[in-house]
Amino acid sequence: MQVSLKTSAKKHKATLNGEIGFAETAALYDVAQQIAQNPKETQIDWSNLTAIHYAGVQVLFALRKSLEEQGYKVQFTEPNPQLYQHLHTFGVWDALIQS
Amino acid sequence: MDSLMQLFYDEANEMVEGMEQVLLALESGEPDPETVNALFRYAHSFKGNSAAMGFTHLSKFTHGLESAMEALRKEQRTLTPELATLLLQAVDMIRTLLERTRTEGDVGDPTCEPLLQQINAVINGETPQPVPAPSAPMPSAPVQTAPAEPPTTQGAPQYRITYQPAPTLSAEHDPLQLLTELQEYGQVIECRFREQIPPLEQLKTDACYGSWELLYETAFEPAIVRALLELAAEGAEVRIEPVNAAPTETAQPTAAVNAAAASQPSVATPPPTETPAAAAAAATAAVNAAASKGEAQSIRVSTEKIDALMNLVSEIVIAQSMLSSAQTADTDERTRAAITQMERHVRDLHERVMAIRLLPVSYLFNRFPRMVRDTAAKLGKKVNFEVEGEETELDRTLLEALSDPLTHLIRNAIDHGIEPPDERRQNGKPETGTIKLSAYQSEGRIYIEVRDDGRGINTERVRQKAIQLGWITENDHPAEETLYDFLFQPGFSTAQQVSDLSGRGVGMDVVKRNVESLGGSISVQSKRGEGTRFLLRVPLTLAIMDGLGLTVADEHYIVPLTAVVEAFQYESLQHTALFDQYEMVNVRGEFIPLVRLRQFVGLPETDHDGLIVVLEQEGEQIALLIDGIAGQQQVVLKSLEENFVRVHGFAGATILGDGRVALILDVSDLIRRGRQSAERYAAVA
Repeated sequence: MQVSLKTSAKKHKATLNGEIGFAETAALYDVAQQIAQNPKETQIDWSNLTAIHYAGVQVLFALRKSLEEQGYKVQFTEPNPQLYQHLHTFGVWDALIQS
Repeated sequence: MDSLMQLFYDEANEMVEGMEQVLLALESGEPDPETVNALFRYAHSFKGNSAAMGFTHLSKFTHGLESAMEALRKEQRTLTPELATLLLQAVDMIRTLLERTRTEGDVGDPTCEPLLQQINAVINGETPQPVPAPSAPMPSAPVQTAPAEPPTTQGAPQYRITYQPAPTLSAEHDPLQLLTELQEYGQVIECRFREQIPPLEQLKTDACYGSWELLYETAFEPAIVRALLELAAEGAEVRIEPVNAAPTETAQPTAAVNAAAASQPSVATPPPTETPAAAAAAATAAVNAAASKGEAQSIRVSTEKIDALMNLVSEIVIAQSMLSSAQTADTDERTRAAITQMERHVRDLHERVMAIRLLPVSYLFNRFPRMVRDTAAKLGKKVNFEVEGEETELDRTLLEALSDPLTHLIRNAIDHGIEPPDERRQNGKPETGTIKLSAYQSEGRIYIEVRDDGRGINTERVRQKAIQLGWITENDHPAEETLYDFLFQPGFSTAQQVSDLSGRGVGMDVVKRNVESLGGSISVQSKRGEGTRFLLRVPLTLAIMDGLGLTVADEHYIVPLTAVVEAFQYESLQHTALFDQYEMVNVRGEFIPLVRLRQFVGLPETDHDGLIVVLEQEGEQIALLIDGIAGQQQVVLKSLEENFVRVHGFAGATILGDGRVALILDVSDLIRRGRQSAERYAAVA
């Protein structure tokens, strides 16, 4: 399972592993919806994520916006270096982590 | 194979040929900047096309080669023979990889990297390691989509790219992936991401909400970049503006790239500064500008369509001929005028369709410089290869059929004609021998000549060999032409072992057979110590020709109109017969061999005087004695060999306007018979 969710009293932790292609985006969206419907501080752990389709990146953007509208923050952990380079080169990383 | 893929392969083969031709030209002359630029453009376009079609191994290898050519272009290195050989090997590798894509898909070869390393070593002045030959095809590891290092683009033009991806995302359409692939062909200097992503509850996971602005440095043509970004899905909007572009290379994006992008709403090939909305107008302006500069505009048409068109035209010619023949004295003027007009239009149609089939012989001749270079190097000989008359046009079918015969003749010239450098020096010749391949048109035929300045044929050895084979006796001293004819006989070629001819006869019978099957002929002239000349004569086309109808009894025969010199009433006073065998005719003081057509075709003689038609080819004449002339007509050539068997003396057959079949005389054969008659006459005169 590329996307898993653990929820505690105060926060959500979504762990993204392997590759999230276009087909896996639906599963990511479902997890994002669960988080958005029970808003808390959220950590996205993608240290083991090697690749993500732009559709999946959009879901993470949308989740961040939804939580921020409700006064909660999203924290992204240190990504895989290759993934970081990929997102950073094309301006996506900076836009994603800005609050 | 779909049409886009076929288009890619057609263009890819042309580009590979182009690279090879340019490398050979560079090696043999001073490297002028325009030629080096041409080489770079070929590699460049090939790389982009391969990438656009998803052949990443091919594209990557060409990219590595392109770096070497970049060094040449910037005049960092001269094209030494060693570097030329390596670059030609790289072109061979590209051919190999290209062919593999047809059967195995996008696969690489383990010798690609060593070859590139060797090329780079030579460019950097290091001692290269030998490269093994390309391996047998083997599956390769999946290709990394992002290179370990970005390509060197320093000094390359920069572009500001605005990229609005297509509105629908899919497994095949990932804008981030497309942008990553851009890094393989240039460098992203700056990038700004504009996100327009809604909150989660409004998000559609398959919709794209984002755009990018990039400052991108690449040596690629802007259209290649556009194609990369637009290929994945319909609806992408890409704007590319040069920032501080160097003078752009004028190569237009190839048709394959244009075709690939044609499915997109944005129009392919706009100039860099244009928005998609103005692209169509700009593309039209570009086409008009190119046309006004005299650049050739062309489209690709399958050979099957052209052949079908030719067949139809030939049937129309026959039908028109039948209609003309059906005219009688009672035919009214209006009908006659219509038939005359139709004759003109059919003739015009025939000429234009014929022109479609014609290709310049350069298509064939361009294969040989590389072969000459490699064969000469292998044999330790120095050969200068010259080509003349490349623009001469020939029927496409004939062109393809001449490839093997000419290859054989040229190889023979290198192997057995041109002497080793030492021997040439001793004989007072320049170390470098010359082989000249030339083509020209004359009298409705195409002449192709292979001439060398080598040893020449030792005719005495040929005579001795013919004696050995029992074809002639010790007392026979045939003329040179007859001795040369022996070279083309099957038995002679396989038995030949003499050193100056060893191998030269091998396959010559096949060469002759192949040329004759095209309705052509081959002859040879040679001078000991000076060289040898092979002359191939082939018809301009195998399709339609203007002929003169000749009759003997009720039989109707055709000769090519281009071979007819004159016709006159035969008078016995003109005739000279020696020993009642060898007949000559006195034509204004000149004695010309006589061939009786009745006798030739096996009909009984008549006591009527008849007519003489003088036929000429390559300066040789014969007088053909016939009963009458049936008039000029355009005839459609039908092959006897394809439909029946090859019959000596006849070049083919045709269907007359009244539906009868008429045989077309082989003028070369008639002249040969006449020459033999003249030789015998001269021997006893």
